[in-house]
Amino acid sequence: MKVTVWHSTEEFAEYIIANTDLALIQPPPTLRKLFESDANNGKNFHTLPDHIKQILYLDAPDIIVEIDSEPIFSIEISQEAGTGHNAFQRFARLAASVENGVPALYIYPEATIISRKSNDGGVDVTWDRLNPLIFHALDQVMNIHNIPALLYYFPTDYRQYANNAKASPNYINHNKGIRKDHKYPSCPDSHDAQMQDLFKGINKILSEAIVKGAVQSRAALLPIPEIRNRRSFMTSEFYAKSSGRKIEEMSPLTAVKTVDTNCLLNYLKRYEKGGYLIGGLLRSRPQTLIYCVDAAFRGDPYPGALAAIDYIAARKGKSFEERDFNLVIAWGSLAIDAEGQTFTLNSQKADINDLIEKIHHSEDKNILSKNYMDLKSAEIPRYYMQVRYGSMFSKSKEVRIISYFADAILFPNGALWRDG
Amino acid sequence: MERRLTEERITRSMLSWLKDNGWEIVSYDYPQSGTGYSLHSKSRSGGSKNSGVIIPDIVAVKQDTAIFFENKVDFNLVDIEAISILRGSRLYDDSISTLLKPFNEAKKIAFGIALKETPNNLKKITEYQSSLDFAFLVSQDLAINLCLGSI
Repeated sequence: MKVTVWHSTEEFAEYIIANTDLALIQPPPTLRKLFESDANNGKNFHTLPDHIKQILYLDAPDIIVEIDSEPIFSIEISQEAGTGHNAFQRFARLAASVENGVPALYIYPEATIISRKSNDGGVDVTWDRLNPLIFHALDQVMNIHNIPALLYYFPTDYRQYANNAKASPNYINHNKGIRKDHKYPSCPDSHDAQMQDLFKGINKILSEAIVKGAVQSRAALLPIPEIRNRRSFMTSEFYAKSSGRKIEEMSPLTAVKTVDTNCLLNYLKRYEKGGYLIGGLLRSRPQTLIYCVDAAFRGDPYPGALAAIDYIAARKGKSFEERDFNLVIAWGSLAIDAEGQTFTLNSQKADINDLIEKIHHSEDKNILSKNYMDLKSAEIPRYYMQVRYGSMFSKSKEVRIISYFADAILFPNGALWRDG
Repeated sequence: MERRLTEERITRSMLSWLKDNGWEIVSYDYPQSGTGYSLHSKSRSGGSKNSGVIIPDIVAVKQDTAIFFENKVDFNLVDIEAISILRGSRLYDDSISTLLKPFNEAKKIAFGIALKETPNNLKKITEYQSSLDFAFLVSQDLAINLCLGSI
């Protein structure tokens, strides 16, 4: 049995191995570096095995553990404040893992300390708390794929110092209230109960994979007590921290408008020229969800939030094609014109050319237009990967994620949409 | 297979060496670690939240001295430029003071680099020695060699 731990940082991989039964495996796990994409690491990305590339298609997790070339779980870790839309910044990479049948484990702080200038010229030091809708979104992922997508709190001083952030020992030392490990200082405190639960969960997933086989064990993981208990914890955290609010009253759903699909089709009529008519996919769903982003076109946190909206409100099946609603992202301020059965979209900040520039920039990373004689030897395997996949891995992350999840992307001066 | 000497391994080796030699680690950072302390420039008005930010790869203190590191596998002029800005301008003084506030005794500050031990890196360190207070070379087997200045 050969175990490989693919990692973003060696320290985190060593931490996970040292604290779980991975440390008992013989021969010891091999550590290998994960290269995020062909877009940001053209020199090395093509050297990754194909099954790892597939998980990285949308975005890269921090760790993927595999046995004999079969991934058995992935881990994503964040130390940032998870308020509002930010809670979903990494959601697409969790979704990519689970959509490939690989359990996803997410380590995220319950709250972190943020200092802000106050009106009186001083500094307000407060806890920024995790948006609890993340629990509901992960639960929907589990409902649809029947694969674990579990969240564990990055240890913090939040529960001891909830009302006095300044007194947190991990505020004074610039750690934003989060508790780090003594031996692996960029990693979470391994003695914390949340991390102990994570290690138990990993050990269970590992033992099931060893006994039953990686592929066979996946679909049977959710009923196992260590996994089921974590899911129950997540559900209770969702209800306790939502404080009775409906999900529609929480970010990012507060930025979503539901319209009759006729409104969207009427809006898109301006592009039906030269005998072209919008195709059947959009027409097949009576209603459309429009995620309205009144900001300049950019990446985080919007692509991840779009992925979460898909799972919370649009999906009914494993493929993004299986939706009850069209899912659209609109860059600008959207006003419904109920009488005209359409809407208007205005923005001083976003322009279709911002997206197109990103796409052009991605295309610059492609080497398919080179003559064979001009290819250096080291470029040939990368060239061959691009022959097979085109620009699939060389587009920027936000372009990859948005074009995967959105049935249409709207700007005031242009749009892209799917016909099928 | 021999493990590649990465920036992460250089930084982690330096951290161990510093701790073994009585230094207290204030902050550190390496690619994708999610750690590190952002030093903000006084002149960032009008820019984005992160414009002008410098994140030192290691900050450590011992008695009355604080040391700031930029680490790389191969010499990079960008690091020398960052060190020159930290050393020569007053733009980051407030941010550095905030970082070092819990360490009241740190009155002296030194700036330097840690690189992989190669002939070319040694040559570059010699070439830019006037811009540096110290420089370390880290060998493939993680041996640490102070090759310029003293700390």
